[in-house]
Amino acid sequence: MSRRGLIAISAALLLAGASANAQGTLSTQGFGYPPGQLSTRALATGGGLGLFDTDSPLNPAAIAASSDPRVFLQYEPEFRRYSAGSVSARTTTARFPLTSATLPMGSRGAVGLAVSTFLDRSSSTSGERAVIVGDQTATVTETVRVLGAINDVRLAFGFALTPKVQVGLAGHVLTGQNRIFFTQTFPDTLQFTPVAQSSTLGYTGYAASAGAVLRPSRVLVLAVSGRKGATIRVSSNDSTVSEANVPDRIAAGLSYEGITGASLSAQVARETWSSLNGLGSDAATAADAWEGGVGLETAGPRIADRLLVFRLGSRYRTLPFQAADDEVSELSFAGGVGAQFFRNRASFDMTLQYSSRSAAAAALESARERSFTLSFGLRVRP
Amino acid sequence: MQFNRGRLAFAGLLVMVTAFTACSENLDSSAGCPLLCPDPGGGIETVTIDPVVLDTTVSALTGLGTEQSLLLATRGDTLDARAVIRFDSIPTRYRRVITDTTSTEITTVDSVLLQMRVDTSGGKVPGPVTIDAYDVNSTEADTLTAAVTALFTPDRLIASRTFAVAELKDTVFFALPPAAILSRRGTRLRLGLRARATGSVQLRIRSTEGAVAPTQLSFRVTPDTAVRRVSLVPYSSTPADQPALAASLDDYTILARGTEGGSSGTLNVGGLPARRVYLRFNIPLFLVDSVDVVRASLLLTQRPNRGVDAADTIRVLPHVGLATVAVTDIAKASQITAVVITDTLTLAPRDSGLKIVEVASVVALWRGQNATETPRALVLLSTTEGQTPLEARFFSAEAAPGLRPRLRISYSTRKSRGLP
Repeated sequence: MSRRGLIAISAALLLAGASANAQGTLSTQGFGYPPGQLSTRALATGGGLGLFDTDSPLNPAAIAASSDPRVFLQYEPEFRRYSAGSVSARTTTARFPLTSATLPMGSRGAVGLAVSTFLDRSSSTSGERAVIVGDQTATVTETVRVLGAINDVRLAFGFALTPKVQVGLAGHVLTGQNRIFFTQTFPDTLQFTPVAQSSTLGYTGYAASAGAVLRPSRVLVLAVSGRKGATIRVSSNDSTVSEANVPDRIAAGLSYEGITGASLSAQVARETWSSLNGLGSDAATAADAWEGGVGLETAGPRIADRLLVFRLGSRYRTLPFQAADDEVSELSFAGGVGAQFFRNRASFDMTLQYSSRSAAAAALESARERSFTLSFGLRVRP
Repeated sequence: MQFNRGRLAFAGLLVMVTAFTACSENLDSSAGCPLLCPDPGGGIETVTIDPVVLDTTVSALTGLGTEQSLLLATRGDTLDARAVIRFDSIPTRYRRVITDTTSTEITTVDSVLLQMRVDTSGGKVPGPVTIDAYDVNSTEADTLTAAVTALFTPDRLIASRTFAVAELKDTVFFALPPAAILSRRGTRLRLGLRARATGSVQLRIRSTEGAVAPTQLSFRVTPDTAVRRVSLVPYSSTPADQPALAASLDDYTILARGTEGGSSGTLNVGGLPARRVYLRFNIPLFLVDSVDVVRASLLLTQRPNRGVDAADTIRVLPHVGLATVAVTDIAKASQITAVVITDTLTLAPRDSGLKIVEVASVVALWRGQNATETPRALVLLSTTEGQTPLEARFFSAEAAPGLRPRLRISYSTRKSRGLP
C-alpha cells in the first residue's frame, strides 16, 4: 500500500487526449513499479521464502501455519539512482508496501487480511521546451507528478489438511488511485499564467488465488500458488476509462531445512503482466515476466539473550512495463537480520536490498538504475 | 533487567526506523527524459477573437475631491484647473497651553502660513510660478463648477507669491495676510488657488486623499512665543449629513476649462474631466470554462491625440468590471471594478498603432463569474485619473475589423486523464 494519500480530487477533462507519463526511470514505466508483495523477511531471502511466509500475500496456504493472531507492518524506503551517460538523478521513494493481519481459526485453520502495493506509480519529471504563445516564443517548464498506487487487498483462508499438507484460497480486490498533477510555468509571470491540471484515476480489479504447502519429507517443503485475474477497470470521475485483466500468476517454491538452524529456499514465478495491456495508452506496454530467487535464513548468535536471525538472498526478474519498447530486468541482492522482543511477542526484521536494473533496448544501452531498498518489518502477536 | 534491555533495544530500532521515515520523498527523475518520459502533450494554441459587444467612453464619476492630488494648471485655451482648500473651522479662542482650563479670545493674528506639499512629477514648470490665493467662500455648492470658478476674481485675491523653479519641491510655504484669518473667526475660510506663469504652467499639490495631512494652515495668535501656533488641516463641514462626501470636499480640483474629448466612436481614457472606457465581452464558452488560458492579450489600436502634452506618458490600467446586470447605467457600472491586473499599458497620447495589455488573470476570474448575472467587462482607466490632462484614444468596436479591440487568447491543449 502506498503512503501517498488516496484523496479524490478530479478536475480531469473527460476528453480523449495524451497520456500522462511522469516516469523518468526504468522501473516506473507504465502503471509503475511492483515492489513484489514480499515481507521484509522474504525480501531478504530473494523471495525464496515468499511462498512459505505468513506475512507475504503470495500463497494463501502459508497462513495455515499461523498458530497465533499476528499483525505485521512494513516500511520500505527506496533510494534510487538513475544514470544514462553523463546525466543522473537520485530519487527517494517512501513506501508502506505491506500490512497484514492473521487470525487462527481452530487448530488447523487461519484467516488473513493483507494490503500490499501491487504497482507503485509515484514519480515526477520536469522539462523545459520552447513554445509559441501568441506573438512570441516562450520557454515553458512542464512538470508531471504522479502519486499513488494500485494496491492488492487480499482476504485469505488457510487450512492444514494434514501436518504435511496446507491449502489456501484467497480473494483479491485491486484498488487504489493515481493522482496526476501537471503544471506548465513560464518565466514571465506578468504575461503568462501558469497551467495547473490535476486528475485522479481510480482502479478496481478482482482476482482469486489458491495455493498449497507440502512437506514430503522432514527436511523439504514445497509450495505452489496461482492467482487468476479478473477484470480491472480504470475510472475517472465515476466514468470507466479503460479496462483489462489482472495478471495471472503462478509460482513454485522449495525450502530445504536439512541444515540445523538454517533453511535454503528458492522460488520461481511467472506473471502475465501483458494482460494489463489496454488499460493504459500504447505507451504503457506490459510484457509477461519471469521471476526467480534463492535465499538462506539461518540462526545467528544470541545477543542480549536474543536470538538473531540472518538472511541472504538474490533475486532476478523482468519488470512488467517496457522501456523504449523492450524489457527491463532487475537483479537484486539482499541481506537482513531479525530478532524477537517482549518475550517473543514482537519481532523486528530489517533488510537491505541492492538492485540493479537495465533495459534491453539499444536506445537505453547506457541507462542504468541502481537502488538501495531498506525494509523494516514489525510483527506483533497481541 | 532483561526486559528493560530488550525494551531499550526495541526502542533503538524504532528510533532508527523513525529516522528513515523522516526522509522526505524526492521523486524527481527528470534525468531520464525525454527517452523515458513521453511527451505530456502540453501544446499551446492561440486564437484571436472579436468579443467586444459593447464599448463606450464614460465619465470617471469618481466624485469631486477624490483625486490623489490637486491640479493647478493654466494652459492657455486648452486647460484651466484650480484648487479649492476648505478650512471650515477657524477658531475664535485659543488656550495658552494645552492644559489650560480657560481660553482666550483671538484678537490678533500674525505669521499666517499655508503649508503645502508639491508634486512636480508630470508638471510643466518652465520658469517662476505665481500662485494666487483667493477667498472663494460662498454659499454655492462646491459641485457648481461655474459658480465656484466665478469667485476667482481680483477683489477676492488674498495673496500672491512667486516661486522659483527650485523652490517648487517637497514642501512650500505660502504667507497669507492676518486679515484673512481674523475676518473668518468662528466661520470658515475657503481658499482658491490658481497658478500662473509667463507661459503655460502645470503642477500638482498633494490632496488629503493622496497623503496624510499634506496641507496645513497655521498662524500665531499672540506675540508670546511660548504659545504654540494654531494649526489647522483642511476640513469641510458640509454636507453635514454625508461625512464621506464632506471629507472628499476638504480639498478638490475645479476645472474652469477641461480638455477636449475625442470624437464619437473613439474610446478615450484620461483627460480632464476624467474619462474611462467600458468594454463588455462575449467570449466563447470553451475559452472560459474548458481550457487553461496561458496568456490573454487585449489588442487595442491607438488613435493619435495631439492635444495637451501629446508626447508625455500616460499609463492605462485595466480594471475588471464587477457590476451586475442590475446596474444598467454604464457610467455607474464603470465605477464598480476591481484591480486584478498588474500590467499597465504605457503610451504617449500622440502615438498610434497596436497596443497590447495582458489580461490573463481577468480571464481566470471570469471562469468563476456567471456571465448572465455579471457581464464580463473591463474598464480602462488612467493611473493618474483626474490628475493630468493626458488622454489616450483607441478605436472602438465600430472601426474596421483590424482596428477594433480584440482578444488574443493562448491556451493549453493538454486534456489528459492521466493514463500512462
